[in-house]
Amino acid sequence: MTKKLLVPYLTAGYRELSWFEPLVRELDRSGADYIEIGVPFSDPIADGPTIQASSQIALDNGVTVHWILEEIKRFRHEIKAELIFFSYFNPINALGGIPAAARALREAGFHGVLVPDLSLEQAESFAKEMGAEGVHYIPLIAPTTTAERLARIAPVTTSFAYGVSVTGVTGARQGVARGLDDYLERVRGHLGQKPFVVGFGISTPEDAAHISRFADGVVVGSALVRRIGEAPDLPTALASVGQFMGSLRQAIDSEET
Amino acid sequence: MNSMKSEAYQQPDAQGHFGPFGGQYVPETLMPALHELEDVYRNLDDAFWREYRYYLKHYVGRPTPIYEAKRWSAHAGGARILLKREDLNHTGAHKINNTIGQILVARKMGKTRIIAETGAGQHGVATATVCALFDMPCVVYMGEEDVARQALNVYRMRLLGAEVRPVSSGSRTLKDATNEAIRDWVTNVADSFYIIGSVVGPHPYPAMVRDFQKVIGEECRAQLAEIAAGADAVVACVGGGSNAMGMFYPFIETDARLIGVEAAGNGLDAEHAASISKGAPGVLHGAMSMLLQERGGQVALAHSISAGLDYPGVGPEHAYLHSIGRAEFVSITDAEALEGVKLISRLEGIIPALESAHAVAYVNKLAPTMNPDQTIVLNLSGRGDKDMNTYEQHIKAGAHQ
Repeated sequence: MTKKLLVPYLTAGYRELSWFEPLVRELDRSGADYIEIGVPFSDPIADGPTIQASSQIALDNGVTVHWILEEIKRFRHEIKAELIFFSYFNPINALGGIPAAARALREAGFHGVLVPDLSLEQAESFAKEMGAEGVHYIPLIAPTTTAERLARIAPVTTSFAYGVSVTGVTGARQGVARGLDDYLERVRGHLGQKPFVVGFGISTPEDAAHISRFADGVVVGSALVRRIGEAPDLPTALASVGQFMGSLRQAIDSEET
Repeated sequence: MNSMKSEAYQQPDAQGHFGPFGGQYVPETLMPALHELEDVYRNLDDAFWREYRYYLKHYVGRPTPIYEAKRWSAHAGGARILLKREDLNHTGAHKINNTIGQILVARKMGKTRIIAETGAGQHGVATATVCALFDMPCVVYMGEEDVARQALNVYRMRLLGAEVRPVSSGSRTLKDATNEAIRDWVTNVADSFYIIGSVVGPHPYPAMVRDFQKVIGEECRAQLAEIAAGADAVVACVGGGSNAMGMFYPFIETDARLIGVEAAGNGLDAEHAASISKGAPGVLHGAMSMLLQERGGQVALAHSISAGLDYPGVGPEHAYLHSIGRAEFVSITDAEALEGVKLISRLEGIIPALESAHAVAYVNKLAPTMNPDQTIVLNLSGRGDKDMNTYEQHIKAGAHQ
C-alpha cells in the first residue's frame, strides 16, 4: 500500500501576513504531502466559525489573492509539498475569468484548485480550463453524493478527490470518524485506484488514524487554524503546528500495512 | 419593437441559467437536495396549485386591489398612477405569496423543519406565519444590525413561535443571515427545507420564487383589462427582486416598460445597494448575477436605510433582463425614499414600507415626464408598520410639511 497523504489547510494571511511563509515552510517540513492554501473570502458559506474568523482576520490584515500568488511564486521552489489553491468561486473568477485564473495559478506553482461552492454541474468547463494550464481540479464528494454522481466524479478526478466527512461546514468535531466506513467504502468503490482524502471535522490523531484506514489520506484544517490562533507568538505557533503535524503523520503512517 | 415578442420568453434553461446568470454554485452536499427540489417543483400538479390558490384567497386575502392614486397623479402632473396593493396582504407584504408556495413544497417533500433568512423581517414574519399555520418548527437567521432596526418584526416572529437567531458575522445584515442559513441547510439538509425569501439562490429557487410571486403581475393584468387600462410602465423596488420579478414576469411579452428601482443609499458614489447599476458579474449565495464587489472578488458591503434592500446581490433573472435590454434599472437614495414615504402618506393615506417607498419616489419623478393618457403601475410591495421607528427618527410629523 502506498504512503498515506497528510493534507493540512492554512488560511493565508492569518494571523499576520508575515506568518504566512514560515507557516507554509513548517507544514512542509513536518510532513505535508499537499498543502491547501486557503484564500480568504468575505462570504465563506462552507466554513464553520474557526475558518470564518481566521478568514475575516486575514482580510482585515489586507490579504489579497494577488498577494498570495506573489508570495507563493517567491518561495514555491523551496517547498517539497504540492500546493492546492483553496478558494470560493468569486475570487477565482475575479482574476480575469477562469482561463486567466488558471494561468495565474500555474505561474505561481499550484498543483490543484479546490472550490467548495462549485458544484459538479458548474465544474465541467472550469476543470477543462484549469486542466489546460496543468492545474488539477479537485472534486468534492459529500455523504449525500449519490452513486450516479460518484460515477460522474471519477472521470474528472485527475489528481485526487476530496471526501467531505459530514453533511455540514468545516470545523473540528468530536468523534467525526464514527459511522463513516460505509460511506468511504462506497467512494472507494467508485473511484477505484484514484486517491481520495477525507476532511471536515478531523481534529485528533485518532480520527486521522481511523479515517486513513478507509481513505488515502486526511485533511486537517480548523484544528490547525485553532492552534495557530491560540499561540501567543509565531515561534510558539510553529512549534505547536509542527508537533500536531508530527502526531498526525505518525498516526496515519502507523495504519499502513 | 422588441425582438422577444416574436419568440416566447422561456427562462431559465434546464440547468437554471438565465443567459450567463443563475446556475448552481453550492457545496456538493446540497446538490442532491437541489435536484430533488427541482424534480418536485417541475412536477407540481393541479392539486398543488389549487391548494396554493386556496390559501392565497382565504388566508392571504388575494386578490389584492389595484387602486388609482388620483390625488398623487394630479400632484405629480403627468401619467395616471395605479397602485398594486401588495401591502394589503396578510402579514403586510408580498412575501407571503412565496412562503405559502414553498411550505407546501416542503410538506410535499416530507421535510419537517424550516429555515429562513430575513433582512427587513418581512420574509421572516411570512415564514414564521406559514410555519405556525402548518405546525412546523422554524429557525430564522437575521443580521444583528437588522435585529436592532426591525425590532418589531423580531417580536412578531417570536410571537408566532419562530426561533430568531441573530447573526454577528460580516456586515451583520441580510447577506450574512443568508450565509448562516445556507450553513444550517448544509448541516441539516436531510430533514430541513430552506425557504428562500427572494428570487436569488441556486436553481431552482430563482425560478420557483418567481412562479410563486407572478400572481402579482397576473392579477394586475386581469385588473387592468377590467378597467380598460394598459400599462405603459411597470415599476417596482429591487433588493433581491422578488416583488419586482413577480410583477414583471407576466408583462415581459407586452410593450410595458419594466423599471426596477434599486437603493442608492447615500448616493451611487457613496455607500449604496445598487447591484445592477454599479455591480459586476459575480457569484454569491449560489448564483451568478450582478454583484457589488471589490477588486479581488470580495463581496462589498451594501448600504440602504431599508433593511429589505440592503443586499449586495440581485436575482439572476433581473441581471438577465437588464443584459438583454428588456428591463431598466434606476436608483433612489435614502433621503428620496423618505420623501416618498411622506408623499403618499399625505396624498393617499397609505404609509408604505421603506422598500416600496423607493419605487414611489421614482414614480414621482417618472410620472411628470409622461402624458395623462399613459399609465404607470407601481407595485406597492409592503406597508410601513415595521418602519415606524425609522420614520419617527427621520420624518417630522405635523399637519403639513
